[in-house]
Amino acid sequence: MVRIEYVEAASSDEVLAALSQWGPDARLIAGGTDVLMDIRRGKYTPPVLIGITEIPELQGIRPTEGGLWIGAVTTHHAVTMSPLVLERYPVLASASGKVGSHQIRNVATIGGNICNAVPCADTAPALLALDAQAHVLGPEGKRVLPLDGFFAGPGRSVLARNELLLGFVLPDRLAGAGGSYHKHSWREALDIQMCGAAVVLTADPGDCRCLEARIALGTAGPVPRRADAAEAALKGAVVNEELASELGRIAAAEARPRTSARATEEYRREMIEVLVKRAILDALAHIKGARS
Amino acid sequence: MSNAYQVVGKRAPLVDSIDKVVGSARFGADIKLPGMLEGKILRSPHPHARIRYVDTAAAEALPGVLGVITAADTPMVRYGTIIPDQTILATDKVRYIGDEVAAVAAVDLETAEAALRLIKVDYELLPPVLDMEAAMRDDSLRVHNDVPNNIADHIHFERGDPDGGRRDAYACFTRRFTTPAVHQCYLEPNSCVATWSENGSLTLWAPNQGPFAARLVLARALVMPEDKIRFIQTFTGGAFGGKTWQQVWPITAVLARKAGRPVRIVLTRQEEFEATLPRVPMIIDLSMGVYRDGRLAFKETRIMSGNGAYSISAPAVHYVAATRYDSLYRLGNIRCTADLVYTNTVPTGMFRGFGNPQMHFAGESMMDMLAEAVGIDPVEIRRRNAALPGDTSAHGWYLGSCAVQETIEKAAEATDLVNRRRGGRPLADGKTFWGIGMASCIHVAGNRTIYKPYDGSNARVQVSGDGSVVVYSGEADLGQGCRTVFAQIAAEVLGVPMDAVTVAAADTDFSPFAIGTVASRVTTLGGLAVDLAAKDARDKILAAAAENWGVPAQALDMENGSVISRSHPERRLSFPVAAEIASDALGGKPVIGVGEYRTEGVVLPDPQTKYGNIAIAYSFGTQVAEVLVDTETGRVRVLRFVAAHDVGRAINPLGVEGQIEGGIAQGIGYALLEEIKMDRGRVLNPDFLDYRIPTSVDIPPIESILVEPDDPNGPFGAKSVGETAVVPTVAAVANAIYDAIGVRLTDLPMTPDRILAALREKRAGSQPSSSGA
Repeated sequence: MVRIEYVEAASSDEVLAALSQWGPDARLIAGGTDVLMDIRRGKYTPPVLIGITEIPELQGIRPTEGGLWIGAVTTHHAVTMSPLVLERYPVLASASGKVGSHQIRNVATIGGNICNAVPCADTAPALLALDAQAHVLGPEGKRVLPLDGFFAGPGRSVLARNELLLGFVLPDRLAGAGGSYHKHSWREALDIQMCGAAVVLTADPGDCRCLEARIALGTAGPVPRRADAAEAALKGAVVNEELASELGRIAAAEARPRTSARATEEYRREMIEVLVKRAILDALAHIKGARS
Repeated sequence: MSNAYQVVGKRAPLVDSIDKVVGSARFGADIKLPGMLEGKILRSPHPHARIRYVDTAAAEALPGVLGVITAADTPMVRYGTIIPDQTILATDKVRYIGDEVAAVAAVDLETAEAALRLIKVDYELLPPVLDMEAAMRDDSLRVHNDVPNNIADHIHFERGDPDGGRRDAYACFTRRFTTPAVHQCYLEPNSCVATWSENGSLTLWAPNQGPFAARLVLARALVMPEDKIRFIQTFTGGAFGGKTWQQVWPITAVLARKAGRPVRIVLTRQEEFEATLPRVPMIIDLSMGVYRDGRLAFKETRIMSGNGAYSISAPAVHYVAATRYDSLYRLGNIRCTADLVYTNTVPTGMFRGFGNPQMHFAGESMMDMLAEAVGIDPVEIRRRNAALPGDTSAHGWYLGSCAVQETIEKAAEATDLVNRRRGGRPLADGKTFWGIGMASCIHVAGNRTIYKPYDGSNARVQVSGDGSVVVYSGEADLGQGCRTVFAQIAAEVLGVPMDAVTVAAADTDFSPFAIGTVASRVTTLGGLAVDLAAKDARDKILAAAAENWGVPAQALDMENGSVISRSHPERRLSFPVAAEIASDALGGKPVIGVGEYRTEGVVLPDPQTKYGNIAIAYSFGTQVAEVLVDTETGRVRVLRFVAAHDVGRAINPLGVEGQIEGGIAQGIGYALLEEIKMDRGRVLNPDFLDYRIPTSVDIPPIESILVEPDDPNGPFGAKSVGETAVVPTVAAVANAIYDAIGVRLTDLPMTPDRILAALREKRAGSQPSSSGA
């Protein structure tokens, strides 16, 4: 019979101590909606699970220097319901609200969604499009790294085995920017994404000329990624339906989706085109709505 | 419908719903016996392989393991529901990924799982037979060595003059329709608990659809007398056809005998998807034609049905697909050729609708194509062809009651279908299309072919001296609500409130013989038996009261739960008092009413021509779907369903509506989402993450319209609805999609990528729009 120890950490220092004590096979657990499934499927059998949800440092949504702090163990439900997130970064609330089911959103955390590093993580495109900074603690101290570059491959992040994700900071610069997340899946609820697209943009409210733009894609390659070429084409351009369609095509061309039992590469690429177009138009409508 | 009844026809919450809601109902996996072990099954990882040897020594040596079985521990006889092609565990070959090879009983699940990993099986791999068309060729490898061309069953029949019909048709079409294997997805997985007594008798607890039918096959598999087996039906958390036969039953039995202890096996969801009995997949080549006036000229069908590795009930499913649809309309010219084909894939079986949804998808899609070809609407073509009460169909089916016309009209009226059809015009945004579609259906209430010796049902109604009533029936409640219907019928006949009636669980030691819950037969046939038994009990009570009063029995009657004198209605006895008198007259024993209902006017169809009236009643329905199609993504949203069903008299309208809603939900999944995906015999999506059934937000509002002609044969005029509800759903969705975007989808499920591909073909002008005779 498989026995797995469980350690409930009270502080981030305790986490680091436990990680150094138990070695590289130890696993952190927050909501557990991925970790427990992986263990059950025999993907790995850690000697210990280190619980991190009770650590105050990893909790909460609050204004911080330069932006909004979202603790790693914040549940999707909390993100979805946060007045601060809804007001400043509604695209993230929308993305968190599309994860799994009510039951899953009540326990699964935003940090877990990112550290699990699967290409279909719903919050990844939104956080990428919001230029989120990941705050990480390791034996050498704290480091801050942009989320763009955080994913190393399917199921892998750049975090070392002895590091802990504390949370994210979303920049004030993009608070209130136009934003939209579109998820394509097979049914209306309780589903993973076939692909997803998040757009965040600021534009001149007068002529709708784009000032700053971020387009990020889910399940469009081995890791969630920005659509660089589409972003470049968007920046400085006047945003309209025609441009949105063109950017959809550019994003689809630069995406690297693959064929799996769930969907073909071709169909995913077609959907990326549609989702990017729709997300841009929604973001534009958001800006126009804020102006009027 | 107004009626003179007190209980029948009233909306009755299911009598066992509270037990289920509060968690006191005991389902299969809840059964625990002292000393019980946990069992696990070792399954083949190969679709087709010869077994050289199985070495269980290491597994047997593992501490905590009390029994390991292989084929050598079983009688090794071949058995089957219809075709004897199965053994309890694989003997010479494994024939699909999931085929049972060995099993282990241990003190806990982890030990049993560890023991499975210690069993060594030496396989000689054989090329798998996977494609139906290739499997039927003379040079194909055989799944079963004694079955040439891998054809488990072949059907061919003709009625009238199909060639003449084709010649004289004004328009006709030929299309290939394909339907995948889909799973019943009952929430409760299959399970079994088995224990043996010292005298060699076996007791099993399992969720199932008919303990007598299960026992019959078990006795053959275990080579033991039927009456040495007691099969107890536990609360059953859904079945939909999937719990009529399960290999886990004989495996648990043999394992318990070997271990000398009670054993429980509960299948995992993965085992459910990989190794139980999903819906028979079909390839249907259908030609149909109409005369200028919209009457059907002919139907010609070529069906290939996927049997999988073993037959179970697929031969019967395949026969239903070949025949049943034809009696929906006044259709005389028919030719059908159908083959049931073995492949090295999961054995298929019965699933709500039993081959009928497959054929209705093809036929009802075709009806809309034919309507368009002659320039009439979908309502009109169905109305012109629909069967009428009193008809004898081309297959000799006598339709004693038949309100399909009324269901067509009511469904059309409720949705204003004729005026709201879009004919492929987009909504204002240019990319979203709305559409509406209709499909009708026929189904049975009972089927003479289910059990060769006999058709009917039996019941006992026991009235104790205190006036409490127990109904005994061997027919199984799977959640569909037959306990409630039986309680209503008994309460109505005896004039007692429903809560005075208990319906006992089905148990082969105590219940009267029953064929089981298949073929939408239980309300009708089981209900007739309960009706007879309750009347028998009532007559016995009346006779005792008459003797007590010194009057002839004919002078008394039962009214509102009291025995009254016909001539002096003020003279009355309350039911409990009358029951006490009757019981006292028997020396304190309860009054036992016996009901033995045997069908009349139904026959086993001719084995070659398939001609003959198979059911005492037939149910009908028409459903209308409204959909929204996003032509950029290909996603279809179902917005609304209206379902008019001819169910005969609804004994429990609440239950009927529940059946309709559930059937439509299942049909929407079949239409748009569900498919057991396979690659070289391996199921690619054996879990609810990648096998998607609709969630509550995928299901639209459903409006049920009950059309209630009194059937001359059914109890209180009742017919059936359980399976009927899913039969037309897929076709209604397909027809609504066609109305929305002008493309005809012929492959299920109608997924977004298929819809986009069909739209592309249409734009390229390659979608066939019509064809000559």
